[in-house]
Amino acid sequence: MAFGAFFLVDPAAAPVEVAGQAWGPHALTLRLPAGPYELRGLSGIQRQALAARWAHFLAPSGAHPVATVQVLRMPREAFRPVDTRGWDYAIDLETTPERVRLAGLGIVAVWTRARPLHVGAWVTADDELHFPGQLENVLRVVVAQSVLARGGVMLHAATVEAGGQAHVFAGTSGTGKSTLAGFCQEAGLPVLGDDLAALLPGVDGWSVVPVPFAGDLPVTTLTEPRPLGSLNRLVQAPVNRVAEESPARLVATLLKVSPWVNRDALHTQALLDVCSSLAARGVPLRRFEFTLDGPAVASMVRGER
Amino acid sequence: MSTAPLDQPWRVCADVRFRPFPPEWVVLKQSRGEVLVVNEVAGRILELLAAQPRTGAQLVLALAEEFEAPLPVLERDVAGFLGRLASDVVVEAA
Repeated sequence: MAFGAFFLVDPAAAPVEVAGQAWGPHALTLRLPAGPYELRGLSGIQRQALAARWAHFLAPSGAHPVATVQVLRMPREAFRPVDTRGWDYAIDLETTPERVRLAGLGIVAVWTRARPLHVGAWVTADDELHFPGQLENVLRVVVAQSVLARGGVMLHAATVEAGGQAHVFAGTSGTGKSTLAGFCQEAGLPVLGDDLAALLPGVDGWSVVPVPFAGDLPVTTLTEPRPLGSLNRLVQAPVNRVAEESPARLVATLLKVSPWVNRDALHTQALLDVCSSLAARGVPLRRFEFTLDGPAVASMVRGER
Repeated sequence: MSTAPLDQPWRVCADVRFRPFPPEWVVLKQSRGEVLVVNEVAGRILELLAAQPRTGAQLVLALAEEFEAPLPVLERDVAGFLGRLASDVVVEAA
């Protein structure tokens, strides 16, 4: 299927370069992993909606952004109606050596590989309900690419703080990331995220940087990086158990749950390098088998069982 | 599991990347976003095929110098590994 054919009435007309009419004169800078990221061309309502959604991740303007997202107008009629009942939402991503294009519900975006990234994001919405979600679809991919360019990786994972360290529980959709994060939250453990986690290397080792891209739980209000305590492959099981995981099996999981960059030929080698580095740095690699016994699972995360 | 004929030359598919994580290897099929974990013999087969296309019989001889295993065992293992790797589109006929 041609790029954008599922979402766009005329996929052949999907933009290939950043040009168009901005929604307004407003801008916003976000403090996200490997950032900052600057958003331009916003209407007043759009800016207000983003500032409310990501209030804890706002940054002062003026810093050199790693990516600038120019928000542009696109009419609703350019998109096909999609029946979203029972649908597992997935964006359409096209990657070539020259550029990246993305299409989703009410959004089309394009950017070249040159850094800092200059992203064009065409959206249909100018309201608080739909616009932030449309833009988040673009930001998730842009941040994942920027984190990898910085030598880190963004993973589909729940992240929980225990003992002053961040413990990452990686898993594909349906493995129970939000369930585990919910158990930990109920038990009073700080949850850095239930859907995505950014891991970045530093002079003192790897750290986990919270991202405001949530699954079923509310967006985290925690913004400061935490040292990486353990990497876990999340497995639903009949009994609670933590076992040492082989580096190969953990790396295989990391490759499966590093969204967007793992399907981009230009990033494959760098992704393998990052996963190799993670597996070799002495961070505990574990298989975390868990049941629906919330208090017991939280205890296991704390290292009490 | 299907087995591959030992007289057929094989090569690694262009979209495949692999790396050792002893004692296993991780294989990434980039175009499909699929990841496999294979043992050290299968990993060594991929390494040999990435250097140059070889038949199963040539792989058996090369592996016989590295692994202490009887030739019939290696022949059976290589045919089985190549069959699995071919069905996963990790290797293809050269």
